[in-house]
Amino acid sequence: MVHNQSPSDTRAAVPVPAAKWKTLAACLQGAGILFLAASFAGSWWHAREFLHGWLFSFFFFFSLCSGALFWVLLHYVTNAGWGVVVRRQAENVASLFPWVALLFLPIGWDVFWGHHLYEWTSPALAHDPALLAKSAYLNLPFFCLRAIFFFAFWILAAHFFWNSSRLQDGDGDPWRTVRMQKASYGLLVVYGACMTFAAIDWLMGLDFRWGSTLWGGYVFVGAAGASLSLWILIIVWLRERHHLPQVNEEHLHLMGKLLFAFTALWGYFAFSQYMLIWYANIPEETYFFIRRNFGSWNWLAIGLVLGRFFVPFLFLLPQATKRNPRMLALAAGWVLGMQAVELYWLILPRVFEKAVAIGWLEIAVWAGMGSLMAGAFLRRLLSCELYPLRDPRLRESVEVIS
Amino acid sequence: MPIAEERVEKGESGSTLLARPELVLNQREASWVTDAVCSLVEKPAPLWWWVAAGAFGLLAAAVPLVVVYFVSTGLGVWGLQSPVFWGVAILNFVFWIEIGHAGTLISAILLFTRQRWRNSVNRASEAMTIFAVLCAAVFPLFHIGRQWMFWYLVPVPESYAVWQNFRAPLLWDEFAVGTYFTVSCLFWYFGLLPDIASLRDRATKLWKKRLYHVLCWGWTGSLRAWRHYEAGYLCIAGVVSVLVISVASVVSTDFATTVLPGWHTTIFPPDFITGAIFSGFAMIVTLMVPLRAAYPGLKDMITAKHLDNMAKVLLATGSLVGYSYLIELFIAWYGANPYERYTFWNRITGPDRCTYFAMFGFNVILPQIFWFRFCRSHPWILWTSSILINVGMWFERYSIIVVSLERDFLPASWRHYLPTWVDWGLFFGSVGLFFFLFLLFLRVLPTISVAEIKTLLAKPKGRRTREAAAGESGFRPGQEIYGLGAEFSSEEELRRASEETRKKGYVWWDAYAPYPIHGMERAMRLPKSRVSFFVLLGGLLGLLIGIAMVTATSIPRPPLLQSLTTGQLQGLFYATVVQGKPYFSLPAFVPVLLELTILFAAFSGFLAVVFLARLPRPHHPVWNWGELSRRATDDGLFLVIEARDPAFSPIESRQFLESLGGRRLTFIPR
Repeated sequence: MVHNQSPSDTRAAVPVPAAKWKTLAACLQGAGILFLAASFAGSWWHAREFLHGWLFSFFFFFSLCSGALFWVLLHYVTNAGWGVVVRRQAENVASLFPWVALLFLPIGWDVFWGHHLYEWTSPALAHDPALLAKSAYLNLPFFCLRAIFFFAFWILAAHFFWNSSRLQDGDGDPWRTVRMQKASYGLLVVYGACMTFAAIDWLMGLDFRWGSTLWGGYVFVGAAGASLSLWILIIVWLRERHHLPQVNEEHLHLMGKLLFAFTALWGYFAFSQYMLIWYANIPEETYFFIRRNFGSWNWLAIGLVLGRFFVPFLFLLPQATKRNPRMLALAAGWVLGMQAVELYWLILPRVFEKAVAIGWLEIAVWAGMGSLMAGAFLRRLLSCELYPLRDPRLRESVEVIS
Repeated sequence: MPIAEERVEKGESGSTLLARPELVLNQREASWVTDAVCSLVEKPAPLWWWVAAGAFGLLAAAVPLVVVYFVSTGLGVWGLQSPVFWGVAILNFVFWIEIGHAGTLISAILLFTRQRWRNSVNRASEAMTIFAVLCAAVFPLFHIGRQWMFWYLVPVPESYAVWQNFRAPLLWDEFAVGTYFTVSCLFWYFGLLPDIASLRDRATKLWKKRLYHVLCWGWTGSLRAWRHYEAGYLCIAGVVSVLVISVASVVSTDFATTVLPGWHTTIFPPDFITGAIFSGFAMIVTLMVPLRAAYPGLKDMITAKHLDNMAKVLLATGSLVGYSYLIELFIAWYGANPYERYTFWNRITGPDRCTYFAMFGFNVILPQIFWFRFCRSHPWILWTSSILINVGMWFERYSIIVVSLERDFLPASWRHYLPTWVDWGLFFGSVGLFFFLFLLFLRVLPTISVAEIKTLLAKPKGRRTREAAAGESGFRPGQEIYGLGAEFSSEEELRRASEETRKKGYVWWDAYAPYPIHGMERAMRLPKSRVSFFVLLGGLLGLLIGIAMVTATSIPRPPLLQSLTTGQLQGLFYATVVQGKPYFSLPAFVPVLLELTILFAAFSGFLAVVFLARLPRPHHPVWNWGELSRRATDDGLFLVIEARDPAFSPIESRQFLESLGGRRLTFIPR
């Protein structure tokens, strides 16, 4: 097998402290379960706030996983070579989808019994003409069927890529790459449909009277950017600890350029949606923004424009910041935080109608899910190699010049 | 061990499937590329060219004839009637402007996504962009009715102190299309500079040589200039990528900012972009497939892989366009607004339903054939589909614009729209004009970017073997020396020689190459080019000018200024309430501000390159060496040490360059 020479490493990789991280993962997951259990207790008093906070956190981590799957798919669809060294970590994040599905369960409960999140699920509205007009789509059986389909697709697709890539580490069969490439085209189409309708079902559906054709694209672009940020953070973290010395500044530069592009793309999508609705000023749709451009929520909205677009855009504009691991990590962490702010701004005005507020419930749920997912990710990280050892494009990736 | 053997074979075939294809076939050399591309311009036009140019020229003649007719009679001869006041004229505007987008996309966005196959098609597609925008501009220009009042659209300080409404999408259009046209021309011309220099060095007639020399600003091929050039190209490409996205979006806001059902939808900006890329790529395929057939020599540069890639782009963008159609349908239903639902129902089942089906069939279903390699690899299938796709895109605009307008809110005023022969004359005239201009372009300028193709060559080794005429650049004793030149036979050698020359302590020296060589800035230890800084400055200047302009002309006169300034300055302030929008409407000002930023950034980038690279240059002493003046823009790699360098000594420097592998060492007279 001549085509699988391992690239010449200039620095030797420091092995991952597996035992230490295994304990850490267990601790994290334990803490996560503890946090979530505590927040469940709090739901007794503030069920509505709890569920919205839960949806906020759920969607945050969902967007990270679904974005990661997009980056893996994009790698194969575009026949890319540069990202082989870093691809495994995106595969790892995407393969956490079973956990995301688990976190969906409280939302599923609310749809049937709680009716705090989605107004249309409430029996009180069963004869509302506005709802009846769209009940062919907004009905409980179809909603559940869609959710099951989305998760089934995402779990299987993510597992397929993760597993094939992992198996390739063992046998170095280039056909695995060919097969994944062939599968990726069709899967990307299904992925696009799932992402669109998941965004419509779980976020836009919070208010069934409101609709926007760009919604799916808007949510997707935000998710892809946030997930890319997480990916960058993981890669920089592994690199700084010398576990992944194959990653050099060229890879960081390329990822930084992608983050820059997706920052601009987010700005474009968000502005297009906002400007058109603001300009036409039709009461039945413009109230979506009026509600969010009111009181302290308006300050948050302005902060979002500055923080989610202008700050990372200007920060990532010079070449130097994209090639400097610390600077890039700073930008990525910032974008990740802004993704949380954005989702908060989209979801929580339904609970805190008058002013921005953050309760301990939201924090507990977010921290709980975060630790749970971080622990799950660490386990995944330890379960396979840090990069695809025998990918046919590995050499191209290691020698890439940005 | 049959199983193991089979596995090895399978593994190897997998690797071949994954191997990167060569972008220039048959191991071509740099000199071959120059010959192949420049000969299209230099040789007399073939018969088919005269036939095609004649036919399309005749068709293009319809434009002035029809224009004279309807300007002298009035726009009543168009098919416009209430309620359809935007007919095929606006449709054709959108159609052409979007076709133009693929050219800029290929030049700029594919450059950033590292799709190097773009290098052989970007020049032709940039030309296509310019011609398409030109065709597009015809329609709104005449649609305004009183064409002699065109200048009312332009913010010129005039005595009435009446200003444009910068909150209006139609004015954004003017800024967007104007910027798009100028910046596209600039970018195209910028890319052409080294290629015009190639033409200059090959020209045999003096007047041609002089003309090309002026046009390329005296390009030498110096690697110090190439560094600024590359940085400038990247910067302008970055600016242009934003531009291409903004223009299609601004065009979409003509429709999407209204409250009309079927027009007001948030996905329109990205939808118009994907539609633009889609139709533009289809047009490139329409042009490239016959071009390859007409000049088989180009097939080594525009390979089957290129067609395959373009077909894949058509598939991807066609599917994205389909996504928009479907999500529009879904949200129209989901929104449950009866007017919105009716508009789409009318598009699908109304009297013009054939346009909807043509649009859906040609734009969404037809490109799906490109899932199969067979359809991607057959030029005839590809070419036919590319034409049908543009027919479909035309019907898409018909369905959006005309079919929505035919059914307005008052059923009593519903009316079926029919374009008249004048409308058709103008449209087909513009088609003729487009192809006629493209044919002219083929004969005047290099159709393929010569310098950029050369960066793709596997081994640009083989030299043009031409015996240097003795004494042509001979150094006569007693003549003043400019410097000592040497030729090197490979990039690697030139890189090494540059490094050694620098280390030796030479300061006044330069390397010359027909294309930028990677790693030279490190070998020559050149500082980072400062072009990006000037681009940023230019952009900021444009932004500030824009902010000053839109703010002053939209807000009431500040009382503070009344006592301090003259009436003329106060005339700038022109507060009007439009659609109940605030005087200072930031979201509505963004398009104009963005376009002005881009316009200034692009031009300052161009000027920065020109001045940082010490252009324009009427004469350069290195051209006294005939070998260099002929081949520095063709296939020669040269290094010249100037005599004014303190370390220069005719004998030692000569030995030094010889030891580095330099050939044809020549003392260049001043």
